[in-house]
Amino acid sequence: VDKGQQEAAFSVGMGSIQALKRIIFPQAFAIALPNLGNTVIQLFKETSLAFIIGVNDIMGEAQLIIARGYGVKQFETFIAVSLIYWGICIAMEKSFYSLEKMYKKGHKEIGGLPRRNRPLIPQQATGYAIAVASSKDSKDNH
Amino acid sequence: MVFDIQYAIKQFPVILSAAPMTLLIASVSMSVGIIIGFFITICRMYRVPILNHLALFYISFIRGTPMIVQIYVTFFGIQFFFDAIVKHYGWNVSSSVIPVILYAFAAFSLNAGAFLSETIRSALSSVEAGQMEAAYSVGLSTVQAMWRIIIPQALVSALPNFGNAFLLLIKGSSLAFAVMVVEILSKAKIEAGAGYNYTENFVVASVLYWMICFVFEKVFVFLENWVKRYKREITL
Repeated sequence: VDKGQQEAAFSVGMGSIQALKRIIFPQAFAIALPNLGNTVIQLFKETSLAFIIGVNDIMGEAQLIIARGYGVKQFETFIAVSLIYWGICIAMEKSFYSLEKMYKKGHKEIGGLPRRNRPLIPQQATGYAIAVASSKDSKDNH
Repeated sequence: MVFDIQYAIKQFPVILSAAPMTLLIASVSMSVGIIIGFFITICRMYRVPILNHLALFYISFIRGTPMIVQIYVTFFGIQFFFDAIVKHYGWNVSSSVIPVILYAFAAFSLNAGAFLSETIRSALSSVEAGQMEAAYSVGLSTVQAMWRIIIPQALVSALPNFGNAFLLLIKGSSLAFAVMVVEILSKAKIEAGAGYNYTENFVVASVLYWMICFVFEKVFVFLENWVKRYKREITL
């Protein structure tokens, strides 16, 4: 996040904690979200290894089902397991995407806006919305 | 329970004997993965009608499921379809004739292919379109232009990611114990099972993985500098 954001926040009389909470953090969070999402999804997939030490997660349950059926229909069981993981991962990806869109509400990229919504003054169309722009202003632009 | 360092040192060469298997799995699946990834990238860049959608489906599936589940699905899937075909034609073989290493190759190659296709796509798109046009203007065909102009430049930005993917594959190959392939971790498990020295054997295995990854990190840094050699001349 640009240092100017903090300076702008100070210039309108915010304290450093206030600036961090209201200005810096929401923007930094929006930037960090894609990586955070990837990490969460990866971690979720990696939990499938916990069955090795006996934790009863999705994989552990699948192994139990197979053991109960004396090893028949293993292919079908694992197809079901993969579909469950896949579905959850897609849901997580989508929700992180919508979260990202929510946090990037005030963020304008070059050429990111539809033509009719572009502000008339070209300088305003680049970079982040300045810190003083309240949420009301950014709503007007979209 | 004490950590028997003498025993651990004695076990080192024993577990090292399984290292070639780990490297074999990683290098075979890396090579096949690059081929699959390149093919997918071409399908997606030129928007080949059906293959394009199939590729998207495949990438989404591989990225959305854990490695261990993919290994099990490949293992039981290949057996399932092999047995079905054998039954249909009435041949007198069973799926147990397939060597287990093939399952590991198939699973890891399919996994690497999906992840490498993203890497290759970003690398190819990092070369500007003007390079292709320039190659056409001097009379090269598309294949020639790809091979002589685009790929050498794309390699510069692809190699660090290839290195990462290769290290991930080496570490990921430890999951091949699920299909009974004897690589470093399986060897450590077998050795540990013989005398209940789990700590020593797993510590030795972890040190071994660490050393292998360290060596390959250096190798990839060296390769990176090697493919960059023309780039450096331009900036001088």
